[in-house]
Amino acid sequence: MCGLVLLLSDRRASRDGIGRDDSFLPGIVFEIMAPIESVVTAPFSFGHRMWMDYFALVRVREENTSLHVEIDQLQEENLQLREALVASGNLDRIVEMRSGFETPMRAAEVVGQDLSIWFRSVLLDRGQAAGIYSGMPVITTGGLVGLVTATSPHAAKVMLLQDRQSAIDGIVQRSRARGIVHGHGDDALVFELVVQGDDVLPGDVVISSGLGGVYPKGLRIGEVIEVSDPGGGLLRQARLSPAVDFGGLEQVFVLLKRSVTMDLLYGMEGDRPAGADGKSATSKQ
Amino acid sequence: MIKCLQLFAVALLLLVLENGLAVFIPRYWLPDIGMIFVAGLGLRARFVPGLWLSCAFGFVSDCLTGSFRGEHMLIYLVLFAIAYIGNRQVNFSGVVRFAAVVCALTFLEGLGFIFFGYVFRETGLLPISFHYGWWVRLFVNVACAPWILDTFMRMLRRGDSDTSLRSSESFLSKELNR
Repeated sequence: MCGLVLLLSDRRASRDGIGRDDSFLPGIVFEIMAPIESVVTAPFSFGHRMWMDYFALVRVREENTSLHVEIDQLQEENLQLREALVASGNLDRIVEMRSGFETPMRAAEVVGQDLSIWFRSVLLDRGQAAGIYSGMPVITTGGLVGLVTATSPHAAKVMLLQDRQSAIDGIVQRSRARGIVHGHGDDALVFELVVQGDDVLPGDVVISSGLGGVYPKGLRIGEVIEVSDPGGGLLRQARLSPAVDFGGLEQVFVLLKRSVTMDLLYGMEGDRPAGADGKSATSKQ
Repeated sequence: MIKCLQLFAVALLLLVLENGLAVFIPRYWLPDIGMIFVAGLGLRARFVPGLWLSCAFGFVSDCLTGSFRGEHMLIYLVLFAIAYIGNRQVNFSGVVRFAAVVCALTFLEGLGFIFFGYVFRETGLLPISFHYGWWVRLFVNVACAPWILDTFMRMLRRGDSDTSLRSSESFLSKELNR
């Protein structure tokens, strides 16, 4: 009965957008488990880093040489694009716009993974005390990671993009074709509801569109690996390789600015304690 | 009571250790500690403490995973009840039979999550690409369950003053010596 009541109330909370920031018992579980997981996971992570940084560096010299060549090519291309922008008089305007989009971020360590095969989430070592609240997007240098779904004073839970509940509006960077990126619970993502005539090709990069207001625009989601045509109807779908290595997540950045949509869902700005608006953030995007 | 708490703590510790191992091993290839713990309780523990422990472990799992609160709790309670009642009707002793029970419970657990996902989260039915992980997890659970349960039973064997849980013998050693 207790389980059923919890399940129904949590489902209702999820639908009504009440959020999970103020739950007492789960908060206690977070507070106890996060430090323990942090301590226990540390030696394993250290061993993994040692292996990856020292023993698994076979062929790194050749890779380094080819990367240098690639960097030279990209720098050349970058220079040409800058020249083109300056020539069109747009560079100053773009720089000015970009400064307006700067969002405060908070770095956090991943201390625990969701081992259930049915859900995809991670546990962070920072929570409300660091200004992290439900509804805030989480990113890495690679791209978009997911969304904070529950917090306690010193821990937070993040639903990854791969979770089956996750859905995000995305666009193909090259052709601006629009669709929804869904998690399917496994390693790949699915780019759904793409209109049949839209231009989507393997190798295309999909970024967040900003529509829906949950995630900021322009964050990298993944790369198209194959396009399929299920049923031959009006819509197509594509499989994406995520931009982020979700299995190897160690450090992430939480964007401390929650969207208006999320404020409406999880509670308004005024409901959050002072200092939670990101003014105390240490890093900038 | 103390024995119950000890057992619960050992289960949590195994869960945390498994979390560390997940850095190296893909999560599909790690056993479902919670499910095996509940299966073991169903076969070896008394009804009331077993029910409480299943409930508590389900709650912790709900907090640490992406499920709704109460989802693991309900599924673990049902699995515990099935294992407990089934054990009274059919003799589940023996490694092979226990592995069969774990196999069946893992499958039922999966069906439970699919059901809750379909009804409460509207995530739809399971995508075909997901089946691989489910079958791998089932295989790993069956392979690892006797050893994990043995760890729990060794915990229970230490000191017999607390009778809230009934077994006092190493499960694996007992079964393998048959």
